[in-house]
Amino acid sequence: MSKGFRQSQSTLHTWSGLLVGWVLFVIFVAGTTAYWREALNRWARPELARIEQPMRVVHGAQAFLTARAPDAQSWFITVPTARSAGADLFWQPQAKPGEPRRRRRGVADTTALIGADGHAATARETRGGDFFYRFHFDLHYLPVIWARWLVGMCSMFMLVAILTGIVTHKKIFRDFFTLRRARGQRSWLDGHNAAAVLGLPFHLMITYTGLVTLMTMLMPWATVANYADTTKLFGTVLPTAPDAARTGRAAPLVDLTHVVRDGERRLGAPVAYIGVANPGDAAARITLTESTQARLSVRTPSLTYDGVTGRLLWASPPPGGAVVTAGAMVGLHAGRYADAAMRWVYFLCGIGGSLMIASGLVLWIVKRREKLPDPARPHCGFRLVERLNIGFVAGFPAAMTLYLWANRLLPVGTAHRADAEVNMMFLGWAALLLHAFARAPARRAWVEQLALTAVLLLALPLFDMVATDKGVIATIGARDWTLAGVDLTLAALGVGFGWAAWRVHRYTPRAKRGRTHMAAAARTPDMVPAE
Amino acid sequence: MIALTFLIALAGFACFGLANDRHHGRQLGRALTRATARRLRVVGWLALALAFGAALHGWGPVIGPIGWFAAVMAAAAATFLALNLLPGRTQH
Repeated sequence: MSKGFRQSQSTLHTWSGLLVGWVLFVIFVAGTTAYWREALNRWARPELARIEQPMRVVHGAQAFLTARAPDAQSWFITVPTARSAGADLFWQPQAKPGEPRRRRRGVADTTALIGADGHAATARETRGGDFFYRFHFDLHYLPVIWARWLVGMCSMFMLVAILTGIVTHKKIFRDFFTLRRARGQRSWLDGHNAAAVLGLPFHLMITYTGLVTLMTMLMPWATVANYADTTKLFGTVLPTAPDAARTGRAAPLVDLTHVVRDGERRLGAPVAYIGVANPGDAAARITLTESTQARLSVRTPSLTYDGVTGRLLWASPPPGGAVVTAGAMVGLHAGRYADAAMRWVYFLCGIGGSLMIASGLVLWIVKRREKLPDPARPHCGFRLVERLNIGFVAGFPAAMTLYLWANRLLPVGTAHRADAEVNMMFLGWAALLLHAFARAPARRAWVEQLALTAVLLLALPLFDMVATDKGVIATIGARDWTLAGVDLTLAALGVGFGWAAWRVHRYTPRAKRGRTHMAAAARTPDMVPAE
Repeated sequence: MIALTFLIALAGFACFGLANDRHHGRQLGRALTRATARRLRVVGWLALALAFGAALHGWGPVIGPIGWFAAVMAAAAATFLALNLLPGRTQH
């Protein structure tokens, strides 16, 4: 390869990485957290009991909906698992003439959560782990479509940065096991390379499949060219049973748990969603959708039953190759199929990816600091990058932890409590960004924000032990590994941030190259390599 | 079988790591010859191939290859950390 080519790739790598690095870091960290979405949904509602008998909850959901929304147009029930907080319900009331159709999901008066005892749960209003999941592609305070375009474009930059990075850091495979510690820029480069190369299959996969999840938006041409009515595409790709018109004759709905049991026997896998059209009517239809835990593709088969007799009417045809391919890529991205061990690999790879982005951002600064004409007064571009790095790399995790604290501390009766939790996160983050720009020198700002994150993370499990009955000792005693895992992971992350704060605090910059060879003597003992 | 996949991959990466001049010297206290390095690399690749078979057996044909990647990444990370952070046998 010519030197010119590598140089051009290096420039592209540096700038494509830097330009969107902060957004990518946020997407990576929030997306990584979203691998524990269900666990955090449970953690965010400590007043709820663990689900032991999912069918009891389904039974309760049917009873609740029969009482609350007997003449709704349709019901949707999420079948809970031992990992979920409860059964999420959503129903669509009959459209009244003259009233515009509701478009937004999750309007509070048409949703409910059924707890382990089969009754509507009275839990604090929160978005739990779902928020991090939505945030990692919908962002917040932005129209969803803009956010997705922004995330899509940043992902494209990420793909460019990864591919050019392989060319730029050509020695990543030969120097696979190399980590030169306490050597300033070299160490950052080794760390950046290690985080990149150790998780390279994951980084490539997650970026590419992330783009696939947005493909109909980013590349609509195939759809536009072949379908005059784009909604028809989804009918073709994801066929559903023919609609049944409401008859107006009342007829009781069959017991949903019987239908679910029958469906699980036929599918050979758990059912995740129950949709009921025209409940309480003679033309009621029940559609079961298979869980994504049982297969890689997220486009899982579905069955439709007669809602009165409980007879199977329709089964989805085997999906085509394109649908399975796209579904498998989305499944690979979201890891919905992943069991506990695989989920941990996903999570650790996500942390690796976040560290890769963070170290890349820091590397930009480290490389340029030595070349500054006057280190006391860096130019404004340098200052901007340096401060944004602090506010994002240290500030965003701190803000996420503030969100979890808001979940614990906001009074239960607060109006729009779920929104208030999210607002707390962004208010906290804004304050941390201000702090990052205002605090001098930069190293102090790093230490303070990293230490703050560590304290916030470490204090959460302690708070849970004192203020809730779901402390880590209680949850381990109950063999509730999901909740124990959340608290222990928060503590472990807290230790990690604490260690980072300590290292930055103790770091003594080496004297400028060329001026002295006494650099080694200036190192603090813990910076001496172990060799 | 899943744990076995990881252990085989780990053995493979230990071979790759020890085929590295600096790490070989640090961990085993003797110089690495070219023949040894080649043998270690061959054994390493064989272990990865064997791990692939174990992954297919343990996870099935769809999840198996993903499981293999997961085991390989985990093994590589474990080896990387062990070689760099554990105290070596020799002091340079």
